[in-house]
Amino acid sequence: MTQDNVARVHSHETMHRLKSAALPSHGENLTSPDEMTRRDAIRILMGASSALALGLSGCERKPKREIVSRVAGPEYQMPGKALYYSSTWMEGPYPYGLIIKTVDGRPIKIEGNPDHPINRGTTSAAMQASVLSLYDPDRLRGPSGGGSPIGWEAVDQRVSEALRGASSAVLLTRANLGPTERELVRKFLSVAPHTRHFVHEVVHDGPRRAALGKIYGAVGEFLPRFDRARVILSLDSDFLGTDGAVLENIRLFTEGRRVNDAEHRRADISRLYVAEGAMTVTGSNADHRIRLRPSAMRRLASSLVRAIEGDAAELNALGAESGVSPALLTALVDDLRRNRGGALVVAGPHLPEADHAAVAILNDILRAPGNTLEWNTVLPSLKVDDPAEVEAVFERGVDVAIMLDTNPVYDWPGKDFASLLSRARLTVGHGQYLDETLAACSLALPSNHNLESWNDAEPRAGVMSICQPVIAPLFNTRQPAESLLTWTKALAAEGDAIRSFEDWHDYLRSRWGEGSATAAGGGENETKQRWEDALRAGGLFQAVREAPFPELNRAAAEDMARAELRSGGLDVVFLPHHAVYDGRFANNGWLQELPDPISKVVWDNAASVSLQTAQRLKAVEGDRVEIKVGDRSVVLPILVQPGMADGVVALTLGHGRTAGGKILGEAAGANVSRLLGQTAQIAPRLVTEVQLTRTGESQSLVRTQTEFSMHDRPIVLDGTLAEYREDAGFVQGKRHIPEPVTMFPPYDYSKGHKWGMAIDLSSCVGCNACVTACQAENNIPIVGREQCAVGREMHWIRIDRYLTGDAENPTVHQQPMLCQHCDNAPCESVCPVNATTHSPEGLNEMVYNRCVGTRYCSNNCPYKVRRFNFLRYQEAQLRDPVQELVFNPQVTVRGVGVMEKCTFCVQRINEGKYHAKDKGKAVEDGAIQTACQQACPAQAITFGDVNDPNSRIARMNASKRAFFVLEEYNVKPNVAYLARVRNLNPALAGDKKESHHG
Amino acid sequence: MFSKKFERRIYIAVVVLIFSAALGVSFGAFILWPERRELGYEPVQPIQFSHKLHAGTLQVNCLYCHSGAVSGAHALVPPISTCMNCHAEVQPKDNEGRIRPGMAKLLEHWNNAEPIRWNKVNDLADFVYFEHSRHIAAGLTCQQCHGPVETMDHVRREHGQKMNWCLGCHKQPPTNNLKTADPTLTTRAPINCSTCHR
Repeated sequence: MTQDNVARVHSHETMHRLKSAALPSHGENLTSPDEMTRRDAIRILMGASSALALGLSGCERKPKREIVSRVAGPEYQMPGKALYYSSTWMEGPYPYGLIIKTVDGRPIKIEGNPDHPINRGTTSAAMQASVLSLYDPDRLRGPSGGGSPIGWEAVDQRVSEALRGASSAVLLTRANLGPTERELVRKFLSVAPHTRHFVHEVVHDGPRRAALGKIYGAVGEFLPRFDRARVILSLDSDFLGTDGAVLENIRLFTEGRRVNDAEHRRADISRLYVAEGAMTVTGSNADHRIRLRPSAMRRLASSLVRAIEGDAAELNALGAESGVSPALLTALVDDLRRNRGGALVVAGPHLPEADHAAVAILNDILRAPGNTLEWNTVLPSLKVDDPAEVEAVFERGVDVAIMLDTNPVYDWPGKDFASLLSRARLTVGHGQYLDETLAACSLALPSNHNLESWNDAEPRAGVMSICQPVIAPLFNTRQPAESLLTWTKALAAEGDAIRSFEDWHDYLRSRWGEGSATAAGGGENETKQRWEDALRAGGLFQAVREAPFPELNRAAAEDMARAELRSGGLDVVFLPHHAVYDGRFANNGWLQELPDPISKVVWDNAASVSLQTAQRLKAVEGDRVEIKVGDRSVVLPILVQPGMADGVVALTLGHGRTAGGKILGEAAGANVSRLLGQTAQIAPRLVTEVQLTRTGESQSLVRTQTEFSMHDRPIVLDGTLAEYREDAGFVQGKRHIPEPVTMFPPYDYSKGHKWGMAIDLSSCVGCNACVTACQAENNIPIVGREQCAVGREMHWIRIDRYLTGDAENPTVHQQPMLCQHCDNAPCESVCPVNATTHSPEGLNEMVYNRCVGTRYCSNNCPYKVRRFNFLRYQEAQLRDPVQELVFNPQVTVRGVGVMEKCTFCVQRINEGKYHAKDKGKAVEDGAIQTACQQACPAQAITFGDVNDPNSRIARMNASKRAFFVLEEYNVKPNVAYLARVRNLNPALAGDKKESHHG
Repeated sequence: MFSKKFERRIYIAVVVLIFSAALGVSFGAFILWPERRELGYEPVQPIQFSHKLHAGTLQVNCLYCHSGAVSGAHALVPPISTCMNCHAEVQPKDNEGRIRPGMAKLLEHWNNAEPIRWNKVNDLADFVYFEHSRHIAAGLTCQQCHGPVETMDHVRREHGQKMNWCLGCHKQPPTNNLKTADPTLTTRAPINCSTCHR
């Protein structure tokens, strides 16, 4: 940040506005001293003394509280005791299994379903944040027509009447409809004959799907098996971030990268090459990164095919043109050729069809099909329709337009959707918020949240997942499927079977009954039992035989791959936001305040460019530029991102929302999807003709980390596979630990438990799931964009990111950082009121009710993991009767003036110990999981009792890769980090800078 | 500057002032001392339920109604349905054959499906995470913390239940009398902060 920006953030007006917003009750005390008159001072003093007098004269105990006898206690439910339900996450692009923790009837925490074959108990940040959206006070609370509230019956009557008389109607939905929803849509279309169904998504894999369909002659998709691959090449595919079944990808990828000290000499892990334009999570995990424009990906794939077959001329030409080191390309070709059957190439969903054809050929000659690639015949989502086709239908005239849980007015990639809508006679919008689309509709219908809904999902063959509600709808809302069923019933002829279904649950249930009854036979009781078993398990998960890989039509693929592509001066690639995705989660504060894994920007989007591109534009970071595609433009600040390919602008979707809640109003950023859908486009999210002009203005980008250099200190250690094979303890030589000196007498931790954590940096991909999991578990507030700008974010765990090596194409180091629970904790010795102390089990404890807010502890913490409540961040949430329901009752909600930090989830530790004691056993290893550990898709975090020699944590701590951060301070941290092993190609050892820090 | 007499008067005035201030402070402390304020708290309840009758004379086990104490953090007051397990049949009447007022009120709540809002007698601060189940599992009796409830017509607070009172037991040397004594502890029960504060 420039000096100018800092000054602006600290300006008097900003601070004053913020304080009055965060301290509503104390507004009058906030006048700055020079504004305060003598009279004001006396008034405040008088007020204070009269309050004191009242307190004295009343001599009353603390306030009386009530304890309520219910009339009859619900079965199974004990106040204060948690109940867990299985369900499915249907909000995002890919369905995953959930276990939902409810306390006193309210869902408070989401975890992954360990039995679900795809995510296996892990979660993403967006899944974790789902509970916050459930209790969002900005949600629509009842149906309205033309701005005034109406009843559901009136809605149903208006819609069904309009549909009956319509000569043309449109039903617009999202792509991720479940199988029963798809069936219902088919039924709806059959009774509403002039209706057409279209699917709208901005982020989708349309070109990949279309290409595979044409060249394999079958409907299906690649299922990459990253665990089986020896060499992985990603062409602009962010498979560890946003592409495909990300949670499964991360798990499989890290499985293929595990090393075992006992066999370090024979250690063999996969090697990841990433060719990409933007800098993504996947790229940051690459062993070798090739900076390449997305429009050149097809040429890379085709020339790799030729090079593997013996003709490297074109590859060398491409390398020379794009400034890629020839040695790297040669090494890549050698590596791929040597690993036929063990190589895997994936391509990004935003690339054009031709690229996917080229990649299919490449995979084919590398013998990936059947080895590192599987074929999945059941697609998780529907095919997305061509926006132009939908526009044409609207232009011919539409009587009724129904939009279910989709927001085309915000993100339609093409014409102005609001003006298209205005041609329809009746517009019906179904959604959780009064967003851009619902605001433009004549009927705005509120949808249930995922946790209030019945649904099912079939992301791949053999995986049938059920979504069940865990709470009755909080407001007068209805599931879109329920509405659709109601309208279908109203339109259906007398005696139609659909009319016999009471509601959507009944319909869903009957379909499940049919399926399982035909499969397994049996009477009604058996069917009921199977349904209940499936509900408990979260679905039906059967191992199915792998579908045979269809034959590649090589000629068709080559034909397709030859298609001429337009290319201009700059490539613009539109990427989904790492947290708010395409904008659907924009009103979720946890996700808005989640730092971007790469740039660490919060509450904003920007135009990311490489240093060289920025120089070419004569722009510096924060300069606002007008990005013009065709006749439309947006203005965004420049973000100089090391690792970007030159000539590429990366824009993030999901920002610039204008309607639908207070949180998204806090966010900065612009809506870039309006640039889509014009002629300059070579794929749905890739544009090659663009003009960038500086506007002369500039703005600050709020980042939670601004320093990316380790300054040659041994903070994150890593080594190459060769080093590791040579010496498993290679880290020891990379740092110098002086003879420890301490003033503290040693404490004997050998009795009882001693809690410790280990984080395997070889597994961590930096996805941020742990950050949001911690936020949900520990009632961590959000502070807003301007408070983040002054460094007051409250996350107890953060991912520190450092860059080393080449400034243009750096090596990225991710390091989750949390309280290290030091044995010689420097924070404890400076606390004047003993508010932070050490437990005999090795926990550094924080007692909020003792803390007086001196912040000495934070000053003395070398890891900077303590967080201070500068303002009343939780106040508004605590006062809102809906929002306060999200709090975890097992954790204190901290107030202003109190320091806080990671507790190692002490509430979970206590609970685990109680369980063990009740069973009369010792605490089992793995029975206590911290929230971050539980969520981690890479299972990089291990937690447990280091005193138990057989525990996983003891084994991790004993690893020769283990090191402690800032160990030289002799604070004796309890969080061990296991050095990352990078699988650099030995042929490139000299090419790549040795990552030595020390 | 001043006369001797005036100086002495100032001296006396200062002494008197200090003395009365000290008196005032100690009186205030006496009045406000939390322990004292909490002790003996005996609010009027919506229904004159007698623990002396139920737990004392009739020997109903505490856990029959306060079932949460065994397995959870909260001991819980019973739902009305628990009362009705007996009182569907047992409905005491006065000499004139009318159902007694407390009983009538209970039936009214039951028939109107209206919860009963009792006044909380033993109430810990919000920053204390107290678990009943741990104490029952350790073999403590209810009376050790709540006093002889079975002798009280109206439940009153017998102990201040402040932290030093808790530590009075927790800090004792380990004993084998506890059912679930933890051999690794140097005290009877854990005394680190996160045992109760988190």
